[in-house]
Amino acid sequence: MITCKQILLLLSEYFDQELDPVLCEGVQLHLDTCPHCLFLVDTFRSAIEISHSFGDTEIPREVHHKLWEIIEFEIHSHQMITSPVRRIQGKKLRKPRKLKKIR
Amino acid sequence: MVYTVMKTQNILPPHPQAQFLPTPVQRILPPHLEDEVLVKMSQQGDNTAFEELVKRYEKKTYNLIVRMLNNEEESSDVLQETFLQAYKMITKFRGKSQFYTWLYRIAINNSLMRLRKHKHQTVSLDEPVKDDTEEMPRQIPDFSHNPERNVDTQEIKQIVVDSLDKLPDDYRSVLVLRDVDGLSNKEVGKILKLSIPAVKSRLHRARMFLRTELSKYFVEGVKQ
Repeated sequence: MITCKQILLLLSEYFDQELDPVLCEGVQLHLDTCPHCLFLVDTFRSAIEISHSFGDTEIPREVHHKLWEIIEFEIHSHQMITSPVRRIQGKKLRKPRKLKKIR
Repeated sequence: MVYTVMKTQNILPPHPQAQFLPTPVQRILPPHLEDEVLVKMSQQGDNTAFEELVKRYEKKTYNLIVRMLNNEEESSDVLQETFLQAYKMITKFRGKSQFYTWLYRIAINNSLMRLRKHKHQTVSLDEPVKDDTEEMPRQIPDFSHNPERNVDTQEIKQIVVDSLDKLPDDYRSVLVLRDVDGLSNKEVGKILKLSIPAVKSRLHRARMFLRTELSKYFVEGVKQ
């Protein structure tokens, strides 16, 4: 027979349906006879359901714009570093080697 | 850092070598491309693919960060940091987990770093879980039966947000990912680098705490 103390420890797994079937049956039997634990279970379930019901809020427009400004800036900076155009220009701008003086 | 400067000025500074930038080619990606494909394209330097990933996950990631930090301004900064890091490190992503798991890990780590910076008071959940029902007066209204009927839903949600704020960071991240975002224990374990038993244990304690906080609120309601 499962005790009230054990119920307390098994609650989460009971809700997530991760309990062993034998244990699950034991929990159900206990709840049928213990209003104290039934109350605990109901309020526990409700707390989880409230968390589940949050849903996603829309991202504020300003936050969205800031994010995209930064992403675009990063992408452009990265393109500038890796683009072949810059490398070619880099070569053009490279200083010519110093020639040895001929005596 | 670049983005800090931009943030204070609130405008995008013109790049000194903007004239040399290749003109961005606006490509339209085929619809319903899987994340895996987009990640591979991004790793090969396809920025349009990365932008598509940002579009897909900006809202989810923002919501996750807001729930962790409970502060809109800081959440905006952490959101930027998260996607910038993802962009810079996308080539290192090996594809062993889902893209969003990897992205969420970055978001959670950045959020935890923020939280540690401004240490706030939280409760301790390290003691063994007690059966608080014995201490509870019997006249607690059973909020399990459609609480919306008696109390404003927004008010209850605010209680949950405040309770999350009191939770230690490690417990909060588990509860947010598992119960609010609806991820599995396995996914939460991957994101937080925890074993499944550790996820379950933290989740249980966090849920018990939340239940107690909600009960307290309803007890006060009865007293009034």
